[in-house]
Amino acid sequence: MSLLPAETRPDNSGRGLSGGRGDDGLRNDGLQNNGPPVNPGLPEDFSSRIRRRGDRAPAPPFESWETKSERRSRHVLFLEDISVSFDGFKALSNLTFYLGEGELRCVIGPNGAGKTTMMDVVTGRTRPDSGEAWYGDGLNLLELDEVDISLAGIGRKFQKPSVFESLTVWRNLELALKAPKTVLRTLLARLDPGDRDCLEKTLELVRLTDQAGKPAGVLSHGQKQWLEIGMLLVQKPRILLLDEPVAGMTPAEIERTAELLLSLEGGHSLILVEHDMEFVRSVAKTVTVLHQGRVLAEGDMARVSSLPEVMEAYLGLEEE
Amino acid sequence: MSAARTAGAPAGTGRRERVFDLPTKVFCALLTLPAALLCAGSLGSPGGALHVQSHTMLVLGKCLCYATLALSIDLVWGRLGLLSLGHGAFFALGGYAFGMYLMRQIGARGVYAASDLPDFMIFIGWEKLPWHWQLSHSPALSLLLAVAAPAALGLAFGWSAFRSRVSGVYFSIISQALTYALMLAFYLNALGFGGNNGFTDFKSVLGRDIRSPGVVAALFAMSALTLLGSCLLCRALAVSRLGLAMSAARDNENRTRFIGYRVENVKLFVFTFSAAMAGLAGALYVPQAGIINPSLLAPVFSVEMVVCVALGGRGSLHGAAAGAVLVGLLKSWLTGAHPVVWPIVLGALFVLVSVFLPGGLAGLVRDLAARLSPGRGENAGADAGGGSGRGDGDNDADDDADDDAGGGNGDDGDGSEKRRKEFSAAAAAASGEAPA
Ligand SMILES: Nc1ncnc2c1ncn2[C@@H]1O[C@H](COP(=O)(O)OP(=O)(O)OP(=O)(O)O)[C@@H](O)[C@H]1O
Ligand SMILES: [Mg+2]
Repeated sequence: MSLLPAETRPDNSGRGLSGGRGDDGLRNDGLQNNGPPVNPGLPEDFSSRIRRRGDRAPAPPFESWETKSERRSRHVLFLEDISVSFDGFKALSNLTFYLGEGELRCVIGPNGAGKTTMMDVVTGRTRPDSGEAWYGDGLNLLELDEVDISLAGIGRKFQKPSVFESLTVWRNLELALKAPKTVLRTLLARLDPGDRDCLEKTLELVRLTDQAGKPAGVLSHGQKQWLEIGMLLVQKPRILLLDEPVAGMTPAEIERTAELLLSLEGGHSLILVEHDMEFVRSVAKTVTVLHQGRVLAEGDMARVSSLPEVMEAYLGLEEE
Repeated sequence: MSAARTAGAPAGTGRRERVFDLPTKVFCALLTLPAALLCAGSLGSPGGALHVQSHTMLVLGKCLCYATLALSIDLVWGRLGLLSLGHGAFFALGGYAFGMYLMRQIGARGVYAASDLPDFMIFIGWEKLPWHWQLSHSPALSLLLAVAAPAALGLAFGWSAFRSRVSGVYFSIISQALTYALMLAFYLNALGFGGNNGFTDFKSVLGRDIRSPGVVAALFAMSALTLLGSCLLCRALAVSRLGLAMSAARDNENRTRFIGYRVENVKLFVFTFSAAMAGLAGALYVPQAGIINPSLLAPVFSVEMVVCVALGGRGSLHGAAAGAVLVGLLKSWLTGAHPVVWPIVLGALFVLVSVFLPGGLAGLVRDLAARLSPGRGENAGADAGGGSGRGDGDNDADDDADDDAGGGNGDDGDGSEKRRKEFSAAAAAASGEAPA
């Protein structure tokens, strides 16, 4: 057990993390300013968590324990045996999901499969009934709230575009910008040239430069989606969760979004939920199919989509 | 187009707003110039043509205090989306804190001339000052208390409300309950605030006659400066990044958390600041009104101030202040001339404004200004329409982001049917490729 802390996080070696972006700085800033329950830097905290993690499940046989810890150490995010139920209805049941550092993962599944609920669990909006969720350098996501999780480097784009409609495009981005976000620091915050540059580049990237001064409320649906992606980018998160990012976009816009997301792969880890199969095919290497709250299949798109049970789930031969 | 973009840095409209925008400049000018003239007039010789009577100064000074209170309400209502129906509590608390000093200044000139204690304490048989009157000998400390006590109350109240994520109409109700409970408490003689009658019959402030022209002008000037300072501070707050976070929290509180802001801390900070501002206004109000009693704690007073904000234009800050001055003047004229019609006029005003002037007076002024400089207005309209033609075809039927998780199965059959077809097409294509 005591081996775990040392090997849980591989990124100390510098692999995968976007160089020069200072993601570590972000994590530390956020954690210090907001006083989350734990500081991952302290070995005592860390080992106590690991022990607690071990306490819950009976010690597995040696081989499987090793593979499990190894598997954990290769991943930036893992969910194990997560169950969520709403009034008896199981939205997620024993979901297990691993996301690698720098990986772009598509999650697909029919309506109500639990994709959004999975994101809710990762971002602290929904507390699961059981299971574990760990992130990065041994942060227990189930002990943190939305704000801490966001500051720790998990950014999210919602299914329905949710930009701040009364603020201009520029100010939406400024607000999301990676910075200390305590009240006083926010009050005194100024845009330094570096920030300005970052915002301008992001505007350029999401093609909203000409809209910078307009209230976000007047943007088209597709533009709002892009603005939200832009807001996600300026947060410089380590993991990006994108819930249906291309809904409401024109084919040309979709193509551009695909390019954009592919360019992020490697530097960031992404979880992408999408119904547009054309789009998924164009970006996905690994696809996870959720159905009725569980993982139905996982693998490359061609293999997954040829599986009969996946076809069945999609074609609506529901068991109920 | 792209040349223009690269030449001048992108659209200046995207930049941070200035504290001194045009409406703020106009407001400052409309406040300071007349205020200076009035002060000069009131200090002039009583026979002079431009002489302003003390009575007028007192009425106007009170209106300026109402304006600061309205500003503090607008800061939390317009900018943060918290409708406080209990801001009168902070105003009154500030008033009582400074009123204690004014009571001590009466000294042995009261009805019971034998003692330095305030009359009402002698009346209920107290022999020495209670603990909470200990600071009341000093005007500076009293003024400090007039800011600190409301701020502390605002902090405690806000902390308990925001921590348990009370918002919307529930927040309005408990804020009203707060001022109501305080009113009941302040009616009690045993609390040491004069009960029913409150504090009155003030004689002097800083050793000078409280109704001498110099003191009246000074109080008026301080009220004007307080309003000016509060207004500029509110502007500075509104244009800071914290101001953006405030608007964001107002529009979508949950979303704001997901980009890393502790919304409850933002609310707590602004609410406490607003309570302190209201307290200072109350402290300046009491010497000019010459009385303070629990009627300021009655919910109806707080609601009246909210009506002022709505009339002036919610969220406009200066508009709210202007609305309070106008309503204050109207009230002081009507309650003198036709006291019975005042509540009716106030109610009618509120209804008319909410139906015909949703933006309040500030909105009206803005529309007029836009009409006078047509170029800008037209462009804004055209821009607003420009982006909406594209890519809006897909399903827009999801719920709000706050409950998008709930929208899963509720989707119409159409969308999922389409998605299934898309999927099987993609699947067919994929499996076609697989062997190769
Ligand atoms: N807060 C909630 N209360 C009750 N039921 C919920 C709640 N959130 C989600 N559900 C249910 O859980 C199931 C999974 O929902 P979820 O939103 O995760 O699906 P999804 O895979 O994102 O679907 P879609 O593709 O339509 O977005 C659905 O049946 C939904 O009705
Ligand atoms: Mg969903």
